[in-house]
Amino acid sequence: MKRWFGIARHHPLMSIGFALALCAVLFFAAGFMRQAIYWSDPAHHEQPVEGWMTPRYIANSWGVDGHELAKHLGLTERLTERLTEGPKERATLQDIANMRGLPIEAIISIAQDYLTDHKPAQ
Amino acid sequence: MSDTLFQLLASYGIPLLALTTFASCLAAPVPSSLMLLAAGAFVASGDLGLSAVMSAAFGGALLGDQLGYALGRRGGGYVEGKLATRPKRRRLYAHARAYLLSHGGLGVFLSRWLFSPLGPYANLAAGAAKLSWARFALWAAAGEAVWVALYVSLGRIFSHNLTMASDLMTQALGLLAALGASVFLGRWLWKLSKQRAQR
Repeated sequence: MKRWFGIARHHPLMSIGFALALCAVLFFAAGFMRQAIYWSDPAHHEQPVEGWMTPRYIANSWGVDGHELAKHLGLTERLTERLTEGPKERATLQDIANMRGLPIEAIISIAQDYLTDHKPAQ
Repeated sequence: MSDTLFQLLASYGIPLLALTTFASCLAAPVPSSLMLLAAGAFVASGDLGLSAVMSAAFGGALLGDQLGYALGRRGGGYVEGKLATRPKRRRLYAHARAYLLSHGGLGVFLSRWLFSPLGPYANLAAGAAKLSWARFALWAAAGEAVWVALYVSLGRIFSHNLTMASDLMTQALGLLAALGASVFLGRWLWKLSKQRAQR
């Protein structure tokens, strides 16, 4: 113990760094546990639809047909032509909302309703 | 924050990925591992191509590493000159350098993927310590290959729930980096304490 105090006195910066690193270990270990507990709850397994998702991502995540979903959301060829920013082949729900001039919430709720009707039975 | 990141990746795709891995090797605060994870999920959904993702991420990282190493090499001379007048610091620096020269290759390799938040500093340190370029380049390239393959694969595996994967990964990455730093500093302090005890 005495030896450790001696070291801390002689190398204060490195000792502080070491102590901080140990604190960070505890911090992230607690964070990881918290996340693991949250996500192991079955109630959190179904990922809600968000604006950054592409129709294909949603399709992959929920096991529905991506092409059908895109059509249902109104992502037609003609609409895609109006996309000025970003590659045309990867429109997200936010992009679709912008193209159609609708609020993102409206698009999300259309997608959510589609999933409720079409998701495969568990 | 991760939502914005995913939206950006969807909008700008491959070039953004290359830019991110490049910048992250230079200690820019960009969440590049998260970006790789998201790219993996987009590969699984069919929104991005696998070979384009892998080569862009790997290419950006390689370039970033090389630039970091070159900067360290230049900066190292400056630091050495400054330290010449201060004996205690100089000893510490010499010690750090000797350590890097003996463990540097493995350190560079592990700081690419296992302790990835420490990577940019390892680049600077390797350059400053004048670790041989060939040795650095080889270990760095091997490590980046593991890093890119690992995170893109994780993204593909967890593509059904990217939010969960990114939440868990952020914490796991922080934990690994903190553990890495603790082990590194702890071992160093331990050595110093033994040296003192011997004196």
